[in-house]
Amino acid sequence: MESPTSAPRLAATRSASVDSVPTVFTLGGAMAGVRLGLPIALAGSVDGLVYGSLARHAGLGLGEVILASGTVYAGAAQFIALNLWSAPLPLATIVLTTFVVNARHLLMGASLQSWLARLPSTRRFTALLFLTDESWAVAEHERAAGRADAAVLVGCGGVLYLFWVVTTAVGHLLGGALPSPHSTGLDFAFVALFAALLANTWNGPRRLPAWLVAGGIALAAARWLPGGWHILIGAIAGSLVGLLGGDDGN
Amino acid sequence: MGIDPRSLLAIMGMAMATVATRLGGPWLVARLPPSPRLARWLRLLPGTILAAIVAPAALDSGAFGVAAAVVTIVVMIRTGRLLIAAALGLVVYLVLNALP
Repeated sequence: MESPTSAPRLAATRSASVDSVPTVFTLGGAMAGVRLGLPIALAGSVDGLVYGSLARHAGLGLGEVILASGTVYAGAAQFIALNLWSAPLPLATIVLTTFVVNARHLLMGASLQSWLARLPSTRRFTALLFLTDESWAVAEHERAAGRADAAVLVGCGGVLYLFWVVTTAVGHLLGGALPSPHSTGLDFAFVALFAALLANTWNGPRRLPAWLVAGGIALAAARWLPGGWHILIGAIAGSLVGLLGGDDGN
Repeated sequence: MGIDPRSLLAIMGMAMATVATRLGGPWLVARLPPSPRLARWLRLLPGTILAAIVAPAALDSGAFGVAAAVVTIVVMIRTGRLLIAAALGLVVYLVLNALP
């Protein structure tokens, strides 16, 4: 008798690659995402407060802040859009800037494709709507550990979403008088988090050329190009160098 | 709570642009002809995306930021404990900055 699970199991024994991990989507996975997302969301609540306060100074009403955080849900793009927020609103510039700043999500989604492709489309779209830098990186971390539950994106992204909407609204209500996260040094929490997640993709010195090129190109792009391009350009350059250098990515 | 119509348009446009970036990656990859080379490239993306995020952010935080990021990376490679490595990196950064 053919077991429906035999094919993925065979595939899993053939290679340790993340590509062969079968995908599930369960409540347990969502809860694992919540657990991982909670400390990240707490660290990010300062950013939410600051955004709400700055948005108020830029002339956005409370309803507009809640609407922006609830429908856009992308911190970096929302911060950058505030610089453009002067009457009459330059609609095309705001939308285009948002797309460029968030274009890194295209690469993050691409890296998850083989994993999410095995889900029914409703679940796939639900998981992708909660894609942020943090939830994506946590999902890659879980996948690399052999935990194949894509609902981790929804759990982690969902907690971050809730905190983002609430803290940006509270920041608007409080107005000014907030300490800048940069002055307290607490904004380094995110650098440390992403550095740890970066280390998780380490697989010996053969990984180094791709890392160095990605980091170096991103540094140059961050210095000389407008906001948003450096992650996209750095990651593409680094991954191509890794590809040409024979790094198989496993 | 009033929402200005032009602000509403701007926010809806931002939301649509962002959703396009969230859904677009897998959509594009599914339309490319599958090949071992493509799969290899996609596997290399997570590390290089993270390197491109971390390098400018660490350097922006100064020499102590770079040092703390290196500590985080080494601890993570050695222990594999995500939140512990990140918390330790933050503590190292805060302590270095608090030194007289």
